[in-house]
Amino acid sequence: MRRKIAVLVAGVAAVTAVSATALAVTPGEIPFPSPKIESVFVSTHTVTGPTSSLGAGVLTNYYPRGGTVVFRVFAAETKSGKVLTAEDVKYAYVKIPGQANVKLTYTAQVKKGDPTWLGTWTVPADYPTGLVQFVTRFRTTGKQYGNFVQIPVVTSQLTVTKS
Amino acid sequence: MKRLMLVIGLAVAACVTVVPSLAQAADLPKKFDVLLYVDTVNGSRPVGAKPRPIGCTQTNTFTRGEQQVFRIWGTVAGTGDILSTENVKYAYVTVPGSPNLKLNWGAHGAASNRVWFWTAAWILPADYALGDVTAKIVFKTEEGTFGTYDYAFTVVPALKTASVKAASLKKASPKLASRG
Repeated sequence: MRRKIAVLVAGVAAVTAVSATALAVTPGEIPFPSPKIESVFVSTHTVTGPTSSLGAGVLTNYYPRGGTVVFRVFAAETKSGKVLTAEDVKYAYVKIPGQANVKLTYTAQVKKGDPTWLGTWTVPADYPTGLVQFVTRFRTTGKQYGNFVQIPVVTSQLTVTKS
Repeated sequence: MKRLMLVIGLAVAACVTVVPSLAQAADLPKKFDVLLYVDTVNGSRPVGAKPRPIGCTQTNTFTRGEQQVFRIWGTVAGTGDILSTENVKYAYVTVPGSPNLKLNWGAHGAASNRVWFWTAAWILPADYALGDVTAKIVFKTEEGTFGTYDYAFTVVPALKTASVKAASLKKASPKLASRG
């Protein structure tokens, strides 16, 4: 009898799991970055620094060696929608292959749409040219985690060019 | 006395300058019902401008005649569900002086790694005003909640070419340069 009940419970759980997935995602669709954002929503833009010939704050994903990449980041708790400030966050950084983590610093918004976190990376003169698969990572004081990864369209991903 | 008046005058002037920014900052939302990521890329099908060396590069600077593509993904606060046609009632982009652009949910990227997000493309009119522009992105969910985002971009008479030199890119990544 116990075994029958266990099998029944397992069956119901399996059906529930499949149904839940079916409700969130239409077959054949692969939503970016995932069907669900579990804990922390993170977005990241890369813009030029003040020394760029394009001027400061220009959105681009192409940077020459020696150029400065400014990471403009926004993060919020998914469950409540609350914007994360310095008080909420244990650590926030951008992980770049072959480089020390770029620490993100909280800056209060002055106008709507401003980022809340900033970090700067100067591309080393000998950094390999090509795509840079960076990841932005957050951990809140409540032990919630969030990541940002780039949309997998290669021409729009961070790329280092020769200076 | 004159010096004192000058100091008071400067202090008042400083307050007048600072207070509006602080008041504005205080009005900013501390939480959102819908969380959005927004960027723009240059479309590979400009109508009244020369195509850039590479299509679909991130940029917030455009010339008239170019194709601007808004790319958006987001999530519903509370459930964490990604925004898709399953939970979005309508979604559009408003660009000043142009009809609303409907956002479409679709697949993008290489066939081996295709993902779904929202996009809307438009051609900047030949007579579009130069300067800074703020587009507004609006999502309404089936639950009746809204997500909005003010996205700033700039319309310039001609592009600076410093950031993307085709020759440099060919050396950096032959595959990328050939996609233009």
